[in-house]
Amino acid sequence: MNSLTLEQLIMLLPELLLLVLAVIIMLLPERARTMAWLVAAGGLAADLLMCLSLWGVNDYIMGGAYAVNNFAVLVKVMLLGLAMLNVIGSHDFTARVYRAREYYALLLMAMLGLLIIPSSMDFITLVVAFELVSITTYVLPLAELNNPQGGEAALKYFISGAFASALILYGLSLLYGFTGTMNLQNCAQAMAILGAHPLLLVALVLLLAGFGYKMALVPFHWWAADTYTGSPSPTTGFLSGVTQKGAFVVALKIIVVYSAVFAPLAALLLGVLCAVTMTVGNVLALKQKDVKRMIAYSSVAHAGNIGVGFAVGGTAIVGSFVHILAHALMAIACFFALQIVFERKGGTMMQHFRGLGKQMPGLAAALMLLLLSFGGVPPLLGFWGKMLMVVPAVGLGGWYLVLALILVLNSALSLVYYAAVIREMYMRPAEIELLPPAADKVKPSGRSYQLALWLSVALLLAFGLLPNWLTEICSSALFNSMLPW
Amino acid sequence: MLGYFWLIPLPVLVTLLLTLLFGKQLGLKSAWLGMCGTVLSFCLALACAPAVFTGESASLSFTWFDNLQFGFLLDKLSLILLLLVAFLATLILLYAYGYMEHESGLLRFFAEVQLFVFSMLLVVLADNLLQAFIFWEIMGLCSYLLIGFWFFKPSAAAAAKKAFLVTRVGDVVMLVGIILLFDMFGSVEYSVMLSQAAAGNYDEFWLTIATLCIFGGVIGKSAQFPLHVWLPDAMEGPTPVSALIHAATMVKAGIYLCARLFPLFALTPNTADFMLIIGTVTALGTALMAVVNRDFKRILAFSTLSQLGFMVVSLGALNYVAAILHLINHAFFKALLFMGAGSAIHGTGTNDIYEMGGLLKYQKVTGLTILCATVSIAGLPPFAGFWSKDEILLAAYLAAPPVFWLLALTSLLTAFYMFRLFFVVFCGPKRGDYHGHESSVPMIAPLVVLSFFALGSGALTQTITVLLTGHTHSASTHLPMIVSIFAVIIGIGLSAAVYLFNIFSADKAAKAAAPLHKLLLNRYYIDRLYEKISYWFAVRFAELADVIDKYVIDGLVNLVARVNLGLATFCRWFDYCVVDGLIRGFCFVVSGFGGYMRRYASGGLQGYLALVLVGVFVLLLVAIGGVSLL
Repeated sequence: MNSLTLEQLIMLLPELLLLVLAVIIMLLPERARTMAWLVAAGGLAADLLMCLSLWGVNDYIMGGAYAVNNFAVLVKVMLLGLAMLNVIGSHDFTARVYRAREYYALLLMAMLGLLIIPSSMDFITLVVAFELVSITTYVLPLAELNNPQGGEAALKYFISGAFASALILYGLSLLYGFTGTMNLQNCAQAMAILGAHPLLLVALVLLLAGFGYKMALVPFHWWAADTYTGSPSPTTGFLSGVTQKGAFVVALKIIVVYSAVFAPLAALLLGVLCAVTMTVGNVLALKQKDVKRMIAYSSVAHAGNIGVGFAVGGTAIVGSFVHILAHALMAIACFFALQIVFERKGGTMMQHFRGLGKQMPGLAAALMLLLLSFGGVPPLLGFWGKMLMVVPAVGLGGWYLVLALILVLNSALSLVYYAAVIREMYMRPAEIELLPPAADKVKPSGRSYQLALWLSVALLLAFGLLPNWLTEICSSALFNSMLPW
Repeated sequence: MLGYFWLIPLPVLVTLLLTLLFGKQLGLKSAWLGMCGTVLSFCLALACAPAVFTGESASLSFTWFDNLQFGFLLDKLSLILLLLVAFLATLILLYAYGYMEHESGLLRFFAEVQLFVFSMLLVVLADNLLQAFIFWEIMGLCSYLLIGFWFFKPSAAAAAKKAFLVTRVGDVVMLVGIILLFDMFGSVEYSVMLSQAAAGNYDEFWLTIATLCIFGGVIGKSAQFPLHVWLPDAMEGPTPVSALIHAATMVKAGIYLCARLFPLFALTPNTADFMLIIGTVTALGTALMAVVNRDFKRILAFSTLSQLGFMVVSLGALNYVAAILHLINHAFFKALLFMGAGSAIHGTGTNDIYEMGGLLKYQKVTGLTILCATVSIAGLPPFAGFWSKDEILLAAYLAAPPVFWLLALTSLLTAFYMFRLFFVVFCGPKRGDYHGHESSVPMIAPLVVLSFFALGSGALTQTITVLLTGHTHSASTHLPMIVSIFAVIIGIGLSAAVYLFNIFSADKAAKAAAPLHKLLLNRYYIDRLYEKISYWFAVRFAELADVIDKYVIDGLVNLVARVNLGLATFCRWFDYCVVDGLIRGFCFVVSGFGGYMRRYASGGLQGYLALVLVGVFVLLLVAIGGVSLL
């Protein structure tokens, strides 16, 4: 039962490929930065295709601890695509950091963990994969050695993460003690027999708090603003666009396990967390003068938005997934845009954005589209996710209606600070001159940032104009494989 | 080939983009680029023809979102229109190459013309009303832009504005109709709507309202009474535009749409009767105006209105095939007439027909091709116009004899004013001081090509009837044909007597019927009435706003100010005593708490973690509370 046949190994090929690629990148000569970039981007593309070919497979391997189904494939493809966007844009960033190889190798290892998360049907596998993601990403903010903020960001991220891990493990030990199993399905069945015991609920709270860290839900979000602001922008894009999204998949799995017995209460807990998160995130973002920090807080608020779908359940989960994709695309693109502004104007404070519409019309237009999408203006993708969450919530009525109302009000509130940036770009004259684009080896021109930025914006527009395709795939993947196991 | 029918509009889009990219460098040569696109589209449509005309049809549709589709539909009706539009667009671009020689702003001109052709092709290809409406609006935009091509002329700018606003009235009504239909059938796809209607899933009252609203849009776009006022003014645009948009294609979009939705109109006799009335009023009323006008292009514009009225009558008489036949024939001879008019105006430098005279001596090709078109539009057998007009008269006769007699009178008038135009411009002595010369080859070549169609397209009558209805058409009575032939001959005879042989003096007749003459010259005062009404409304609205401003708003403002003052006084007290006190107290507490916290959280991170633990604790309390409630 526990032996692994060759056929089953084929299903693990995407994961194995990432491992091999990470090793290959570490074996490259130190100066071969473009090579490392090519291997990482190409490898992720190949991996994405491999995952796609697994669409339609429905199988358990490794004694039921590892599932390959449409849900897992959807999440993997989504995360791989997002990581690929991030890697494509990172070329010009790694061209001037000291440790390009390590950057890409760690990124690939984090992706390995993220690929295991959606497939794992066992708490141990889940936590190990999650720790793999966490530990590799603790190092990523340090990519720029001469940036002291990076060190602070990494350290805060690390210590907070360790704390979160402790909470998670404590929660798990309680869960194991009560149910006697670590398998997700068996756990749910055991819970159905045991009934609603308060200590199971304590375990849920501890797990939610621990994973709430990575999702950056209030009040576990404290590290997020410092880490997101302190890290170099491409890394921030990866943290908020890719790894943070992995935590949502874990949260979804836990909610599903608990849904049998604790359905209304677990939803209530998550709903309260999300309502607080949205409001606090937006209020904090409102007064920021540093746009990077503003977007960091807005990421916190969006984490709350995504969670609303999980709390509401049913078809709203499709909305959550659409919003996960939307926010990931927006975050990655936005942090690349901020990196361009940082390199060409010397900072990301409000005054650096003044007159950007005249100085860099292309970038300003893309950034405007991104900000509008953040704010949920149709027909951009940022709108559809929220709509798909609000409509079922309103349909359910009761306190879900209040939750939907809070989401809508928060969207309106968030537009205030997004629009402020747009106003600075288009309505105010420029105060700070553009730095010339230096195209030498030390400081490349930033073309790869532009490429990743426009790719993301194009995807946002395309999915926003044709949302049906995306929602159909999401709902078929979710309802055919995840919920009934 | 049929599988790729959706490629038909693509070449035009590609050349449009190329024109936008390279138009500055190409200048006048953009015309050739545009012609490549329209010729390719024409060829693609032609390649589909064998399959479609043998009875196949193709559609391609995908869901846009919700219940709204985005799709294309190619069947016999749309293919005929596609061929017609692409063919005429090609000729007119060639003509424009000659006509626009000395103009500036060519990039704008050719890009707008191509955008127009593209959107017209998409209106024809659309498989649902909403998509048709979208491109219908883009056509309206192009029409606006092109009428105002010489925007620095106040009259052109005003005409463009008028065209845009007047058609907007119709379009809004039409949008209401589309929404009503969507509400009724749950879809705006033609096939769904027609099959639902055929199955009887409709409420007759609401269907009547909806079809009336759709017809409202047609009234705007196809310039029927009472929204006909924009078309004569639209002649301020360049002549190729008048020929393409305001004679041959765009104004026909309304007729096409009615033909598409024909079964719906057939189910609502009230709407059909309304169409009969509107069509007759337009046909006769505008023909009368054409008799007295002196402006070459305006006469043609009135004649277009009158002929569109014929088509609407035919739709109202529930014979859409006759309308389509007349649409095709009219497209040929009216495009020819406009292009000939452009050539004559180009040669003489005036629009007034009484300043031309004897032009045949200088412009033989133009004159003879215009003669071809004139006999065709007048309805002289056996030329094209005769056949389709005969069909319409027969349909009208069977539907409502009074309408038939009025239309017979109109065709007498048509023959009269068209030959008046020809005799005054091309025959008789030279009246103005112009140096007549024939126009250049690119302008003349389309005229010659079209004159064959203008004379001979009647030969297609039977073929197209069979294509659209599946059986040949045989007249049950020959009375309408005989009456119409007599009417035409009388009209031509009268016209010759007055304007060629000067047996009667036109001026005397005008004096004898001075009030009527004045009424017609002033276009029944309808334009002025609209101006008066809108002026009256604007002034009354302004006065009302003034009164509201003075008494209601100012009063409110004063009241608010007074209340505010009181409130402010109260707030001042409240601020000083209560809020400041609270804030001072709050600050004291917060800073005290902060200082307390700082003792424990020196770096920040520890503080964060402590707060997290507080959060976990609160959540636990909530959870336990929840369990005890369960």
